[in-house]
Amino acid sequence: MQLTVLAMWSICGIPVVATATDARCLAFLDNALRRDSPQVAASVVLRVDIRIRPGWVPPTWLCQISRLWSRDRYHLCRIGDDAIVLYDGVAWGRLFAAERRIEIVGDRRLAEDEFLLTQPLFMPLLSPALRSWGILPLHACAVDWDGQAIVFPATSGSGKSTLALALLRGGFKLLSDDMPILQRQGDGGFRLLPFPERSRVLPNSLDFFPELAEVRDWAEPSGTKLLFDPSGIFGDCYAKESKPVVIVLPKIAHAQESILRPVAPSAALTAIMGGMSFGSTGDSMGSHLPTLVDFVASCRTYALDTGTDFDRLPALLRQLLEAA
Amino acid sequence: MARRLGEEMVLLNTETEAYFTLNDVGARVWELIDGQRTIALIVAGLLAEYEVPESELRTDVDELLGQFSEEQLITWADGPA
Repeated sequence: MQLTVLAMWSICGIPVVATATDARCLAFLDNALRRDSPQVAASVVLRVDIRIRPGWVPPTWLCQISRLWSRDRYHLCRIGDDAIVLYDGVAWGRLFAAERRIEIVGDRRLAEDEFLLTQPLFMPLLSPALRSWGILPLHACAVDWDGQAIVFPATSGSGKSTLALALLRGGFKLLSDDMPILQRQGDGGFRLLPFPERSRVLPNSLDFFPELAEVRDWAEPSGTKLLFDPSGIFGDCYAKESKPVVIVLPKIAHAQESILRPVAPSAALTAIMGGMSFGSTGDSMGSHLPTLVDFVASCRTYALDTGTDFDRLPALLRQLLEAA
Repeated sequence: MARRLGEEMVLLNTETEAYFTLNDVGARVWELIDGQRTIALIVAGLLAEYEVPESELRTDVDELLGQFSEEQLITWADGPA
């Protein structure tokens, strides 16, 4: 089986080398990731191998998997330290942790459907891969105001992408729509770094912002969402790094008025740990726990019942930064 | 693995991968478990710190230690006392 050569990126400073039997797969990954500046190949890289096969071929190790979470035909699984995503009858992906290699195997749909390849297959495996380098991606949205960051850890469907849009409209800058990188600094403090990925939002979310209606015309479909670069709307809206000072747990409230209230730090830690559990073993979570506890302890923690008063939200959240 | 987070404590059983949060009293119970103290000594230590009826405290401590045991966070040296 001939592999197409070859794509290279730098993601969070990690050289990534990808090969595929169909060049369209590499184009999809290239399109989905806003790349760092290119890096010279290093001795330790993350390998990504994508193989197209004529039909569904179950992996030989299928009987060894432990299923962690399932929805319909989609499963998050594990074998030892290896994280696995399984899309029954379509494709599978496995992070071979010891080899620092991601392998994705599936039928021709991998080369035809960018969302399929990047969202349920590649991205869930990239996060645990980065953690093996001590890079902590958080499953969260993070925004910056004048060097201070608010982190919104949340599962899909919590409204964080819509919330991010509302805050960008209000002058905040974006670190990441879904996966900011947490880094501890030499003085024990923390900083957040951006993750090179474009934003994804439900089409209906744009209805809340009439001036963004044009996004529908040029954003790319990505599953049920639209994939777009917010700098096309807001200009220079990306922050390069920021100091996290506030953690807010968002939830969609079916009400007009948004309500903020303090919550125990443990609630924030639970949300953050939950976003990192896939692809982690007890030992790896144990190695990250002190950092995550110190990170949460360094921030003020709140819950936000997000209403539809999006024009008011930027000022409401800026008050948290002024008090920090 | 246990870490204090403000007034609370978080526990992670790295073998079962179960994760727990303890309030302030639960955190003090955990901190008083040192492989030497009996339950009676743990209760006595807490009575010195919290104004609560002894019988009520003993019941709560017994229940909490039972949960710790069930979640394999502790083992009994000579059986529950």
